[in-house]
Amino acid sequence: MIMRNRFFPSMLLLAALFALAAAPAVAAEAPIPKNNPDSTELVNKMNVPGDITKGLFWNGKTVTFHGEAIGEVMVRDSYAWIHLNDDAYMERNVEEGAKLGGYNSGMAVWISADLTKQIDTYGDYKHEGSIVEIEGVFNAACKEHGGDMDIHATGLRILRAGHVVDDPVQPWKVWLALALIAIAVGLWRLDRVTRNRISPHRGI
Amino acid sequence: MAEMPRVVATRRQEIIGYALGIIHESLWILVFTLGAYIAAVIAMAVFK
Amino acid sequence: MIVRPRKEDHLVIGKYTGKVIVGVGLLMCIPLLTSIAFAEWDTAVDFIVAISACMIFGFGTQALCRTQKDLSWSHGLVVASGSWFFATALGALPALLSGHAGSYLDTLFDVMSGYTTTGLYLLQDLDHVSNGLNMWRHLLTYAGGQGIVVIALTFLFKATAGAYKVYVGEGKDERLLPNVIQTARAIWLVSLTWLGIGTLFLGFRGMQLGQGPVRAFFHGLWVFMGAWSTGGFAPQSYNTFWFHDIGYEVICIVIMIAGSFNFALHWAMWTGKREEIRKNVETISFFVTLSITTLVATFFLAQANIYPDAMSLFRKVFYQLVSGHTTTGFSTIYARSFVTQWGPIGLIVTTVAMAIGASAASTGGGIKGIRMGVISKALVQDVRRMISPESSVIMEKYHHIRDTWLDDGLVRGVMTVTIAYLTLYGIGAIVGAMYGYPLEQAAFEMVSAASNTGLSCGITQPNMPDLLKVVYTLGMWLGRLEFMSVFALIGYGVAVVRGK
Repeated sequence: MIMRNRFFPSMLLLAALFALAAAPAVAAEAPIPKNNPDSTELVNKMNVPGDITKGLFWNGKTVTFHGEAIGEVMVRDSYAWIHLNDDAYMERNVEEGAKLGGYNSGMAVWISADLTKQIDTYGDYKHEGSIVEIEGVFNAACKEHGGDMDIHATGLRILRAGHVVDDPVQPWKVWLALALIAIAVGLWRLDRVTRNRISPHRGI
Repeated sequence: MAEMPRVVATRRQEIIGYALGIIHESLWILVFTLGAYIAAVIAMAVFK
Repeated sequence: MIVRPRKEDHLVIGKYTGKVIVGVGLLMCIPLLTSIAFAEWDTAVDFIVAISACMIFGFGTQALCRTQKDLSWSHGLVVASGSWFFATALGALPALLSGHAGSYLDTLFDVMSGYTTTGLYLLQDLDHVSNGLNMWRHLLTYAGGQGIVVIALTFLFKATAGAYKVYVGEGKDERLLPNVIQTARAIWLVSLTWLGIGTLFLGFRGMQLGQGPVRAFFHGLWVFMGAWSTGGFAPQSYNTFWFHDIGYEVICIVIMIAGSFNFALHWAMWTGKREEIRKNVETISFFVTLSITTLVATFFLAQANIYPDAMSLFRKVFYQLVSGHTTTGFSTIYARSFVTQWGPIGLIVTTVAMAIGASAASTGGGIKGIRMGVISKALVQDVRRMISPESSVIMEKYHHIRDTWLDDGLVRGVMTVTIAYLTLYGIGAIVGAMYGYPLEQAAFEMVSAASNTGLSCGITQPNMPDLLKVVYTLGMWLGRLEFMSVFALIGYGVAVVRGK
């Protein structure tokens, strides 16, 4: 009964909290325009649809591409690998109330390690990474990197700094957890008691 | 072939056996990978 | 006549299913501790909810189902498939509570994919998922690879004749040691030893590649779990493409192939029968079919001129094919690249590799090497019979741990399961095609699901038709349990309703 009484009010409270948290962020910064071409187009668009021998449309072309720096930078000597996601979670992630919008999608970028020093945050559960714009050559199958699909970037610009993401414990989950623990412990006791009643001498 | 008489291995011999087993397995896979690479290169040289 | 199950039957099935689910609840303690260690409190609460739900189910059924009866064969099969069903329904809770899933169906799909070591997923925004949830995804696939029944056998069951029957119901029938509990422990010894060594190698390589020590360790652990269990989950949406390194790929290849080996083969190697790897029908079958598919794919992709040089061509082709053939599902190319760069022939060759799949009693799926071996031997036998004098007796044998003579009963059993797999692949491919996907892509995706591989050519998407999600989920379940125990569960259901 406790559950039912608290459940809806706490959901409402939660929704209100989300709205409060999200509103200023949206108001403060203008949305970032879509990439042209975006990562999906880079992977998909062929010169002649269905004919793989004619290759990918964007292969070898110089592109400007932006996305959320995700995960980490992996420095290899003077160059580094970064990954830029230009998906539905580029500006805000699910914990901050972003709508689910399919898989992540992005591009691997090979870039001078010095340039990556400007990136302050990489995206993970607790962080929303910096949104980074790079300019470089798109390779459908890079000769230098064992056929990887990548962009060899020459320039880098930070469009928006990253930030820390809070994921507060939702109150209704705590109530749910407490109720379920109580039931589980009760059943465990019941299991013990009835076991002894039926077969006092041999436990199973 | 007749079954060899079973000798009970000590703990140490057992662990050495496991280690050799893993190394043997891994080496086989690596040798195969190298073989596949060589075969693929030859195949490409022949067909191209 | 169908015999209606008696009360005792329900009790025995309920009791053992409950035990397995308690095992699943205990397993969730590992991701719970992970999320606590990383101070991911919301995720931690998700796991507490899910653990409690498992315990309620487990203790509840055990309290209700009191019996001293041991399991019969049909019970064992029903317990195996029933446990998988409930383990999936309850294992889906953490992902559902995380808010990263589009629907409960999506999380069922993901968890079934984890347990069956498939590797397809519908989880959204994977790159922002908590460490706790990532630990659960990979642990699911690691545990599922050994078999969740094997886990329960190791820790919760007493050694009974019935225990072996549940074990077989999970699609494993090797006895490494005389006792099934000892066998389950031997399987764990092999898996955990590989886990230690594999994680060490991947972790160190990750650090050399520029990862921080903590991330390198966890990525190493998770990638190992994905590779060894031939699962194919990885902590980033880029999968193993994330690392951009041939060294990392080679380590993955070794782990994937080792994971696709029969546990009986591992055990034979470990206990001194080193020649087994050269003589075993499954390794021979695997190496032959992998070589053929690699050569064919290399040939056609070289003609299409997709990759700039021999090394990168080989690196891409061999990695994806090993991943497909071992039914792992790791990839170093984008899902859509199978269509836009590999084309129809690349898709079909990979589909064939996935359909054949790994070894029996391994963590992998597919038709299995031993069946390919037996079928080809039977074919040779038939041809030899045709060209020999009528009076001569032609015998063929195959080697798996020991030599076994082929007889018609054995070949018939092998053919039945093979035909069941092909039918499943076919039905799924047709359903996909009816939704308007090109046939070769629909076939690729269904074979990937039903052989528990997890490579995708882009059909699997959070917004794909719900029916297709259901078909793929059922395909994974049927393929992993090799049909019989799922049929037994269905038969049990029918018997409850229609039996006399």
